[in-house]
Amino acid sequence: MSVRFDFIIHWLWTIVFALLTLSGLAMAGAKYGWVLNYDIASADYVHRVLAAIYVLLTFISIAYEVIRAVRYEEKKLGWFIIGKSGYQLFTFITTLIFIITGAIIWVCMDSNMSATAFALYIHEKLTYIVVASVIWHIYVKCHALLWPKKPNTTDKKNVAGTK
Amino acid sequence: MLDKKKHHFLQLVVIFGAITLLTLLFAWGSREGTTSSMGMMGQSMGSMMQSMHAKNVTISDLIKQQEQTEMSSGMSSHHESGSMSIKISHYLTTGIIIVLLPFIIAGAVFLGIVWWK
Amino acid sequence: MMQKRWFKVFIWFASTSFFFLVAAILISELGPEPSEQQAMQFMMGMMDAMHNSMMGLSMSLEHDAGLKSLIGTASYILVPLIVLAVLFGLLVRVRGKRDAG
Repeated sequence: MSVRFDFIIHWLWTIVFALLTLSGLAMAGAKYGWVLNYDIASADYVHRVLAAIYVLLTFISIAYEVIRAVRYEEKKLGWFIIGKSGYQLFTFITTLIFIITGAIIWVCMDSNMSATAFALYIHEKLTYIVVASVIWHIYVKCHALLWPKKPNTTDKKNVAGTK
Repeated sequence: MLDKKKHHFLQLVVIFGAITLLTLLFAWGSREGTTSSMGMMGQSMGSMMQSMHAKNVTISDLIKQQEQTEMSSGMSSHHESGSMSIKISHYLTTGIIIVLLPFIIAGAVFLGIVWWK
Repeated sequence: MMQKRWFKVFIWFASTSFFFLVAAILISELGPEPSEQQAMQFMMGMMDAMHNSMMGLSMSLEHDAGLKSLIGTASYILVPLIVLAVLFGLLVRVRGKRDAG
């Protein structure tokens, strides 16, 4: 069974992003607190730990793409989260904005309130846009939701399925 | 005829649309009696801080450091109460983010140049 | 991989969780104003986060000499790194064009 690197990153990313959104929503305001039953302390802890993992994953992906660019590998990675066109480019740009505004919130909370407020505003509104775009992404790729015809397919088919 | 492939997606849309609508109706219905507008608390944190700190903010305000040291030095003694494991994860996560951020930005700049048509 | 049964379940779970997130956003945005009790609970949660989570620690970041010097180093290497990235990117582009043409 061959599982490709971009495939793993795609789904790890999905899990981390979903949990980040969930814990972030709980902190977004008094209206949102019910999402995690007003347990802001856990939400904050989870959000910050996952943010580090998110940044690490982004770093690995960017490093991978840089190495590919240096080697002039033109082959398109179908499952990768960042890329030069389409939804991959959208994810790339929004991820950068998320990370930069997140870091501003993290670092400037103590020293520069206007920068924090500004970053927090973008961070939050971008969440709504990106979550909506994920639904669109599911719509486009929703053939993945179809159940397999035969439950136990052979390994040959699995290799074709990963492509 | 509906697209067979989009069937599962539409299923999810209908189910979650119904859940959302019912919850909203229930939430509005159960609040008929108690109408106390909390004003600011109804907003999200982003909007709240936006109206508090960034209403008429200029670019220079975003860049320069504010003089808030005397206020936060008083506060910092309150925040020392975190346990050891929290402190360790704080150092670890902050370290990862701060160290990797310049490399991510530089990598993004590099990819932007290489990918530009 | 994509045709494995457990993976289909996982994909369904992931998609459903994103639908749940959208539902949560819509309910919170379009729902009624939070009651006084909810606002208080939220404030209490925030206070709790200040004391028992990393939020409080990051709010006293200014007084942490080690992390502060780390931030200084990071912002110090940022500009040279960007310049390097620009130069390196142009180099890779030019070399790629020459090889192709």
